[in-house]
Amino acid sequence: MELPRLQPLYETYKDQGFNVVVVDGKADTERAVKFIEKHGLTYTALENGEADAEVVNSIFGVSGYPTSFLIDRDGRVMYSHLGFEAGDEEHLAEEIESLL
Amino acid sequence: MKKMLVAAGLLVLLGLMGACSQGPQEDAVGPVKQAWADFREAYGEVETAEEKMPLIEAFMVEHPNTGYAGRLASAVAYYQGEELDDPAGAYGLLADTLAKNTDPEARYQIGTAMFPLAMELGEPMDLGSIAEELAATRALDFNEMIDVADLALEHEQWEIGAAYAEAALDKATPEAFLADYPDDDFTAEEAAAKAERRQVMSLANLGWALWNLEQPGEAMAAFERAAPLKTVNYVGAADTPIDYYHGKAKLAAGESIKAMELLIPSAIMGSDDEAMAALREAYAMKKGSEEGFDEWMWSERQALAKTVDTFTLADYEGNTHDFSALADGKVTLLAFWFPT
Repeated sequence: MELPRLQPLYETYKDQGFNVVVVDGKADTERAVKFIEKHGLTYTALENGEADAEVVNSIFGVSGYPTSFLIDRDGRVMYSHLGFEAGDEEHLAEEIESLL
Repeated sequence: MKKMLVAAGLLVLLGLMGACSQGPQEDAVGPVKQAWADFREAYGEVETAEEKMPLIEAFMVEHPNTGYAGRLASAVAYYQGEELDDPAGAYGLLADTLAKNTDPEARYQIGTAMFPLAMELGEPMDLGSIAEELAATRALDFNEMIDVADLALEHEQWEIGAAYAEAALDKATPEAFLADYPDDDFTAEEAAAKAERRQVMSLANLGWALWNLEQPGEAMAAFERAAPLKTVNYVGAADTPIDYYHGKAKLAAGESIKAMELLIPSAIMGSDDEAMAALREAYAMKKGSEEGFDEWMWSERQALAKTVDTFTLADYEGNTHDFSALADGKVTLLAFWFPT
C-alpha cells in the first residue's frame, strides 16, 4: 500500500476541509507504527478492532487492500476505490475537489 | 483490470517477504543464500523504483537459475514495467531469466509476471505451457488456477481462460479452501464464505470465457449461478469481476438496460474505469448517443450514495476516536490498509 501517497493530498487540501483517516485492517501495531513514523504520516491512523469492535469487514465489507472510501461533507459515501497505484492521486484529487 | 494490478502489487510484497517455498537450486547455506541476504538488506534501504531496479536486475543477472529469481519476477514487472514505464526492459530481463531457469516453480512465477508484458509488446508466449510445467510437478492451488484464468482472459485467450476457470471451480469448496491453508484456523462458516467467493470468481471468469467462445447459453448460466453468491462492498460494488463480465455480456447481447443495471455499482460507486467505459457504451445504446452521460452519472451517484455508519476505534497511542467526529463537516478519505 502506497499510503505515503495520501500525505501530499492531505497537506494540499486539509485547510479547505479535507481529512484523511486510515485504518489498519490487520491491526499489526508494531509494523504500522514503524511505517507511519518512517514516512512521516500526520493524518489520523487507527487500528481495526476485534470481535464486536471489528469494523473493516463487518461494516465496510472490505475484502482487498488498500480500499478507500471518499465521503462528502454530509457524511455520504460517494466513491470507493480498490488499490492505490501511481497516477491514482490525480483522479482522487479531482474527486476531492469536486466535493470540497 | 485494476484489481489485477493490486494483486500484482501484493505478489511483489509476498515474494520479497519470502513467503514462497525454496526452489531446488537454492542452497541452504551457500553463496546464493548469502547473496539473497545481502540483496534483501540493500533492498530494505531503498524506496523508489529507480533505486530498487538496479539491485533487482543485478541479482537476477547474477543468479538467474534460482528460486529467488522467481520471487523477484513480479517486482520487475511492477517496478520496471509499470512504475518506470519500461515494459520492454522488464520483458527483456524476465525473458533472459526465464531462458536460464529450470525450476518449474520459479518459471511459473517468471512466466506469469512476463505474460502481460509479452502481450503488450506483441511477443508470442504460451501461458498454458508455463502453467502445465508446474502442474506436472504438483497440483496447482486455487489462486494459481484463477491467476492463470485472469491473465488469459485479460489477453483474450479464451480457451485457456475457460479451462483454468473450470479447474478453479473444482477447488471452490470449503474442503479445498481449508486444504490450501492447512496452517490457518478457519471456522466452518468462514470456510463456506471463502468457498462461495471462489465460486463467484471462477464462474465470472468461466462465463466471460464461454461468452467469447460463442457459448452464450452456458455463459449466462454461469453468470446466473454466480450472481446470488456475490458479495459487495459498502457502496454496492462487487469485489469480483462478476458484474463487469456479466454486464459486458449483456451489453454485447444488446440488453442495454440490464447491462447498465449490472455495471452501475462498479462503474459509478466503485471507480472501475473499465466498467465505466462499458456503462458509457450501454448508455449510448439505450439513449442513442452519449449526450448527457456525465450529468446522468452524477445524479445516479447522488441517488446511490449512502450515509456512512460511524464507528469507534483506537489510535496507536490508545486514544479512541469516533469516526463521525473526525469526519464532521469535512470531505473525508477513509482508507483501509495493512503495513508490510
